[in-house]
Amino acid sequence: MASAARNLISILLEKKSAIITKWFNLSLEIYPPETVRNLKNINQQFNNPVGHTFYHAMEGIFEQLLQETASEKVALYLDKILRIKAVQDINPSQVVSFVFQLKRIVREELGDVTFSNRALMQEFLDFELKIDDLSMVAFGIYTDCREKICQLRLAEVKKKNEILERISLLNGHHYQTFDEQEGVGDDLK
Amino acid sequence: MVKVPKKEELLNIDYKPPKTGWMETPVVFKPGTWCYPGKAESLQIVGLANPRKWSPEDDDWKLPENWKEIILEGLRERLDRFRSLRIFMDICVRCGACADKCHFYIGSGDPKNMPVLRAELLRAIYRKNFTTAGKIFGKFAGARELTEDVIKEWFYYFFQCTECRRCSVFCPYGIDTAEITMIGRELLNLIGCNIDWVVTPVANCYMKGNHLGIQPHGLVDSMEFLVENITDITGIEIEPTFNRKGAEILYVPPSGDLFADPGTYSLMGQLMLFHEMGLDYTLSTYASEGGNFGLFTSHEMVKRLNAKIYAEAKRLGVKWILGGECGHMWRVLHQYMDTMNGPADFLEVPVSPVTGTKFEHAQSTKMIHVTEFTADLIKNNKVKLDPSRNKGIIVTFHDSCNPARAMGLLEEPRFILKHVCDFYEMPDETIKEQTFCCGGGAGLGSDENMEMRMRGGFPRANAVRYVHEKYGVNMLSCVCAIDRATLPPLMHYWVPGVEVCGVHELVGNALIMEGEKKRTENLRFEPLEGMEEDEDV
Repeated sequence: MASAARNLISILLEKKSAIITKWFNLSLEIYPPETVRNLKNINQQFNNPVGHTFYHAMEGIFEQLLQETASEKVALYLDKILRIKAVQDINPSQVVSFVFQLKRIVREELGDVTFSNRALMQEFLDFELKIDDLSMVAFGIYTDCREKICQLRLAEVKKKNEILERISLLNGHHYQTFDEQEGVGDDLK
Repeated sequence: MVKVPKKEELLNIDYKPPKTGWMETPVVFKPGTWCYPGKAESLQIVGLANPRKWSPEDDDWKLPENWKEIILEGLRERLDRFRSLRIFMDICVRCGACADKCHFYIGSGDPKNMPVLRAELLRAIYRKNFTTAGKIFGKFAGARELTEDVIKEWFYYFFQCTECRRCSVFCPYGIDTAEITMIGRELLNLIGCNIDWVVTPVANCYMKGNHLGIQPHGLVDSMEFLVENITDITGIEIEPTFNRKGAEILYVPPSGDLFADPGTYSLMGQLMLFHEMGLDYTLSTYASEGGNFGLFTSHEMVKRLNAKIYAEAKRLGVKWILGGECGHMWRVLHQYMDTMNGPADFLEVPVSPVTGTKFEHAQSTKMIHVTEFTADLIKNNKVKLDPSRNKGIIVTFHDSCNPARAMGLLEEPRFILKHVCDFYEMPDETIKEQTFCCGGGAGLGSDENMEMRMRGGFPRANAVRYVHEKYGVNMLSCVCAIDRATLPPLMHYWVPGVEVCGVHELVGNALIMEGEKKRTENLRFEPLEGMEEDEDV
């Protein structure tokens, strides 16, 4: 088992660069082609923060998956990607799709050799289980991010209301709550 | 019977976006990405067109019957009036230099947020109606028919541009996409398509002098509250005045700083400094707002709302005007005020009564920024500062778009910060004239637009995260009231552990005042590190 693990990991290490590049490129397919061109400038940390973050976080995730036990760092890398995707105009399945795409890329890269070697195959299945675990962590982080946006919005609504209430009192007026205002905050009523 | 999809159909997920051209991809209004429309009542106050109750999510936007005619006539009039607009419509060669410079494009990946394509929304209509090639060749010449869907697209994308002008820094032709957005918003206003976060402050400003609609007695009460806080912290009583005729200086801060933290702390710092310098200044209860949301409405509205500043300076008989820590206010004051409401020949070129420095750059407008005033004081050793009171606060500076790009205020805030705290710069490509927007300027800082703000603010937050991780930066300083409102949630989302402050809050902390008691708390009433009150045991 240990020898098979070394084998799989050594194969994946050897193909690391190709796997990460393919994984990164595939994950960008949810974006329009004009945007993909920009996102691929992965060395521009500040002018292309999205592409840079995605690439380096994916690299980090992959390296963690090659460890015997992935550390909590893997959640931090996932967070970096998901925090961005959670505010973009993409649906939830597209947001987490990149995690599952890693399975496809790894299978393609390993080729038929893996599937004809029983020990290697077992290692590969274990590796896929790690990716499944990763997907569950990803779902959790994504929902946390969405919830955070709602919390931020509510905090801002509360702050605005407090200020308006104070001003209304200072001005000697009755304070209009959302329910009394037409057209504003309809989705909060 | 309901058609149940087959297993293969369910598994056949295409991640790629639809392959329609930009003209054929209509806008979808999803929650979190647009702002509430202007309240009818506010539109009526300032006489804006077509007041009504409507929502961008509705199919029917209740446009005036002749909306098309109004838009085309409005565009024709503006093409004649503004030579810059006609040039901007004609000369773009679509080189793409601006494409990846917009913070909304970087954060969202939506190609219509590329400045070139945002401008193309207007250009396509211009070509169709005002150029021969466009009239004859239509789509082949990049022309497009004006329809209600185009208006919806304009509304979506012109209210997704914060008029920050970062793209214009990179345009080899100097096309200012912010001005294209401004014209786009002007045209939309002609048919009553605007947002409440702009229109209601405009109406408040017109009626009461400030965005929040605070009446004179409210302003005085709020000021008293801040003054009491200063007394609690320093033991010193200061007495700012309102509408005092014959004062040397009229001081105009953004009204948000009177009410909303952390702006209040920054205003307190300014009041403390003015007191310590013995400045002869007054505030006006009508020119009680430096900001001008007319800038996000129309040129006429900019002029209308700005007029109060010179009018009040004249009425009160001051010599010159000092402006507070505000952002877009400075584009108006620096670039438009003089020609719109000047010449201010009744005022004098600002001279610091403390150092004698003559602010020659303000010869025409007669108004300077408070960081220019303070930097000059520090440069001339007129202020006693104890930076150790800001111990534990590790600061970086966010250049607010308008002070940086529209008035060139780059060094003064940094000079001040370096004298009052530990300061670290963000990477070069994210500061000064290349600064990234907070994502909520130009009226887009509303709560309902939160998701879009998080997208647009990501490039800024990314640079903050870098200095947070590298140097332990925990405070993002800025000189803009909108920044102080929009950056805190941005930091909470992207870089928890970083707070936001104005530059003068840190000055106020460090300022050694004549006769003050031992400071044990900073302006936020937080204990000062190493200077805690002696406790009785």
